[in-house]
Amino acid sequence: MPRADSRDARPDAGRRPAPPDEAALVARVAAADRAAFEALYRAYYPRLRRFLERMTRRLPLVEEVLNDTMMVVWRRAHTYDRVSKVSTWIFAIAYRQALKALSRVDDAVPPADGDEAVPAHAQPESVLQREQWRAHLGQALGALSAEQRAVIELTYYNGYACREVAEIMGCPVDTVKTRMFYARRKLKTLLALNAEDAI
Amino acid sequence: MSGRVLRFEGAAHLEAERLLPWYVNGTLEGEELARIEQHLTECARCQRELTWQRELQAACAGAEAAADAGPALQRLRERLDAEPGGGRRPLFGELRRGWKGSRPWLRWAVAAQFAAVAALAGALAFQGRPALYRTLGAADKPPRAAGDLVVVFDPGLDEAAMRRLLRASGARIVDGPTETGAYVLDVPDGHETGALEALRAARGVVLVERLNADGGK
Repeated sequence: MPRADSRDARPDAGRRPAPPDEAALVARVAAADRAAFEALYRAYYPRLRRFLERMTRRLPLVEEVLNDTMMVVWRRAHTYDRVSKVSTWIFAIAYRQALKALSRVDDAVPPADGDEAVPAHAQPESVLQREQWRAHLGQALGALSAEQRAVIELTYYNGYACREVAEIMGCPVDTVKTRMFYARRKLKTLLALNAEDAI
Repeated sequence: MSGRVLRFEGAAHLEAERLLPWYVNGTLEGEELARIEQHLTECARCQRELTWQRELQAACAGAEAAADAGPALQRLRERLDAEPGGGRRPLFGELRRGWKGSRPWLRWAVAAQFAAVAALAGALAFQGRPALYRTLGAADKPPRAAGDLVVVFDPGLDEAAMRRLLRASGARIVDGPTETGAYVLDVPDGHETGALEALRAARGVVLVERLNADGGK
């Protein structure tokens, strides 16, 4: 079987121009260069916003967490050690800030009720079926924990390697694989329940 | 979610099952990639799983938020401007947080270090006191204490950066490092306060204090 994808085929790759030397930008931020900080902010705003929206599923929290994240970047830029990529360093901060914010509020996001359902494991064949499947998937994602949603987002959308996801989440690689395993199993169960309800 | 961490050693199928998400996103390399590709040629279940995960990936691939960063950035600018130091925390605050967040054994070690530094400072001050008796040829001015400040540099600070800091503050090392990395600095008369403030404001300095509480030599 041919290889599924190259690294460049990750969903968020290709759309984004090659980043400038982000490490140099962070070094300037460490020297209190506000222009460099704002350039970094603008570069990371879309992807952090999306990640935080998907992870927290609480829109009112997103900007607050995003700005808290960048505030930490501003204050702690001198601790960036160039061992990891700038993006994993910033996403790790965002992940921790999001967990902190969620711990202040109730993390239970009630799953939206849905009338429509499609078979879970069957592959959506028509455009309509695909849209329905995605709608149910969105609901099912809402029933996962924030950590599980983060693993899914960082892997399938941001295209990080398993080791990088572990670095962002501050946990061992086996824990990432375990979270992903349970997340997929739960998604399938929820989608299957939707399918049964529809019969 | 269960707190258990699953161990996936063993069967090729289980390994493939756990690694498929990173096969799908194209980040697998080397032997892991070769094993998955081999397994996929012979496992119908993993082929179905692969198709399902590609659907999942496609469903996750919606566009990033097209929202303008401007308003949020403006609010962050206001936050930065409103905070003292433009959002940079003063060194004392950093030290206090670091102290609170450190492990107990480390706090004890640092406390022991300060006790040693204090003892050293006391000994130096005692040596610097004028003698109770004086020879006829002795100068009027009492002998200087050897050192004005005690400083602890960040362990990560390199030697060149340390030299720059010392030059900038007009200080020179007259003793140290102690076992715990403290140095005693001598500063020209009248420049003690300036040197103290310069070192306190500098990155790479964990702690700096006067050896004499009254500020004199």
